[in-house]
Amino acid sequence: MNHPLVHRLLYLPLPIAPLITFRILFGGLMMIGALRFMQKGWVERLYGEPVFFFKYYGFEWVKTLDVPGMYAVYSLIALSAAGIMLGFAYRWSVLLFFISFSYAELTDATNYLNHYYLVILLAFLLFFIPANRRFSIDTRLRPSLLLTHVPAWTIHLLQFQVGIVYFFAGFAKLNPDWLFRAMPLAVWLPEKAGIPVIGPLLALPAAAFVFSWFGAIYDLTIPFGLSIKKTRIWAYGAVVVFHVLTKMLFNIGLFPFIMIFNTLIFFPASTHHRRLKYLGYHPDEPVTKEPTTYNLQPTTILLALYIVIQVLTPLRFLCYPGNVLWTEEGYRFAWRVMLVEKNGYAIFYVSDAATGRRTEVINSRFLTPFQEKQMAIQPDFILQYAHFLARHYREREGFQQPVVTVDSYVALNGRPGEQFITPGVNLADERDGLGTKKWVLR
Amino acid sequence: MITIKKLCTGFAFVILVAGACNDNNQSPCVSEQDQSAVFQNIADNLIIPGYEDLNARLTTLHTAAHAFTGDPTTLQLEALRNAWKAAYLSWQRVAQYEFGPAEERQLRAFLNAFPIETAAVESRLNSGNFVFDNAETFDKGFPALDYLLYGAGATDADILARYSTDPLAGNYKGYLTAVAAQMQQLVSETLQAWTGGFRQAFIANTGTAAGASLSLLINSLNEHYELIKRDKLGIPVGAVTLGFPNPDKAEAFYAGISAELALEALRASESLYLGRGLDGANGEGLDDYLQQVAAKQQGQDLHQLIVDQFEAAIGALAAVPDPLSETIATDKALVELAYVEVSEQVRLLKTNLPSQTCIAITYIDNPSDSD
Repeated sequence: MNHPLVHRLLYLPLPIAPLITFRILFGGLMMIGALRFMQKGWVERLYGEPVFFFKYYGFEWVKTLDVPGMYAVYSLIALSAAGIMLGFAYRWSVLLFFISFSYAELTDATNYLNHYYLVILLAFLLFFIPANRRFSIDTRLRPSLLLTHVPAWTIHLLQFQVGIVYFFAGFAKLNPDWLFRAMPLAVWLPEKAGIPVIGPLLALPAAAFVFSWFGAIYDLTIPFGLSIKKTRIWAYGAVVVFHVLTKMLFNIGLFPFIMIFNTLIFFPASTHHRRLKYLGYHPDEPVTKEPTTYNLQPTTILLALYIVIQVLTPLRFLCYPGNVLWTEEGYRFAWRVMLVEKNGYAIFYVSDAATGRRTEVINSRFLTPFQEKQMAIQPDFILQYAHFLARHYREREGFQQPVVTVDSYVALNGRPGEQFITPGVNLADERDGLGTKKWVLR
Repeated sequence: MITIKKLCTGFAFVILVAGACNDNNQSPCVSEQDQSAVFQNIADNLIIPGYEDLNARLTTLHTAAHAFTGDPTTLQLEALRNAWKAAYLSWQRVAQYEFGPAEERQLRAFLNAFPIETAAVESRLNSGNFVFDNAETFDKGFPALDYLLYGAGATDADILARYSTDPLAGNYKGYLTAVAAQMQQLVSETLQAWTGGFRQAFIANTGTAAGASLSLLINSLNEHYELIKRDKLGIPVGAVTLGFPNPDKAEAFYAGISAELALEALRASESLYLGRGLDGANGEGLDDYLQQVAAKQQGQDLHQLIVDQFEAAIGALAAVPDPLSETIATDKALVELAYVEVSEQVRLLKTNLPSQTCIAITYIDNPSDSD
């Protein structure tokens, strides 16, 4: 544990500049993101329209606020993000951002996005990383906070976090659909045939294969390309081109900007100094380092633990039988981006032996169209909704023992639809859990 | 940098192999079928003649409404009812094309929002306000006429009295003609928009993108098919309401021609799928496009499955006699069977057809970003 390499990777004092850039860009982008979210009217659409909200396993207790409440949450996100950007009351800002952003994401799992998960992880890490110790309002107010150098782990941990997103995104692409059927890009690219200049090329059958293979190789290699000095500038050029292209082609919101900004963390301090100078940053102030007299061992252990968790979480799909793209067990929190084109259909039936009543459910009574679409392709949502229906028919419609079954079909990546959930299974009796869902046909 | 060179060579090789495989093994979204030919057939033999027919019948209806209000006799009532029924059946043949000009005018909401809200109708009759500018109300279009021509009294004599001796007779007349005029106006505008430029744009709008004509057709086919299933059959028979039937919520409840209208709508779905024109000639349709992507489901031909299911659904629905509300009371199982057969098709149309033709279901839009 006190190996010189470990010490160099974790505790060597490095100039703080990359963290300053990271903090400013991350905070600024998140602030714009929250404002954009409100400006687009998504608070009303995502929190005002639904009457039922899907939850993550273990977070069923999270309650969604009403629309004004959610506006308050998004305002907090914007404010605390501004605090991060400016380095004002930094620890509190990060904490507030982490809580409010995580809360917003936990309110409805329908809206899960990998980059929102990344934001949550980065906010978590920033809480422990002293990115406010220079060029911030905090240091302006309390010059004693000023630091020119930070332990290397603060920078390397962020590099790891950003790198692992790419690596696992690439790893997830190593599946037969992506590589040998060019799916789902073979569906998505021809949709973009109307784009000037490159449009007609995108409609060519070969284009989907080129994009698929290039995408996989890009994702798998870019963390290494960014880490090696010789290739870094080229790798960063590839990052910019890749993300600008995906931004043009797909409706992926802030993700391209997040990655274009975050990957700057791989550049050495000298690069940051040259850019930050324009903002009034003076790299050559007298050196101040935090005394590293504290016991390093717990830090090392905690860092190792975090890394192990981050590596194992995306791999947990291996514990479940069947194709993860179909079952979606172990699908989330694993950097699986743009891997499936799924089309689902789920009709629920509720019956009650006691009263002899049976009904088909009109999903639109309880779910927004977008929720219904997401529900139909994700088994845990199907189960949550079935439980909701059982409760609804018991409490509101006088059913004594509601039996909930589903007739469900899913078409994955251009294949014909197949039955998704075992017909006839009473979902009201099934419990959600981390184990294999036996009622999912695979 | 030998390794990078090797990587590039390997990459190029793989692309070549993938490209080569691709020639034998068709890319999933490529259909040999010329899209524009399909669109042209559907525009020229289904949609535009459909609106022309509807427009003509609504013109007749409008004239008949004035004739009746000027001379409220049994004879004129009969003529008006016939005109109404002919127009209503004609509407079923174009109701599914709710995109472009029809979507702009919210044709479905203004022509056929049912079941009618009798309270809203009564309040209009009392107030004499016959400006229908809100798409969300249930007091206009064909359902309003259903009520005014069939539901306003227990017997024909009672109904005729509404237009002659009733203190509100003037308002009854005004209601009738205002509704007829608005329907004719909206359809005439829609028809003009189609012939005046939308037809060209529609035929030229090829591709698989959201908003392209193929996407519009498959999405509107699906959206309307689900309305046939739920509103015309599911709610009246009680399949979606705990088994409690709601015969009074059937389309054209007062006239008692619900099953006939539903059958016409179902046939229209089939016609759109097959590309079968109003004249009965089977031209290029969605089926031809689908067949060119050679879609198979569990070893079966998806096209054949869809065709068979249309046949089964139409057969089961044709066996349901009108008035639907009475059949529900006397032989509910017959209606439930028709409902099941109609429902079976949703899976094929909503999951398989879009998936095989690489069309996204876009009447469900994504309210946020994706990743």
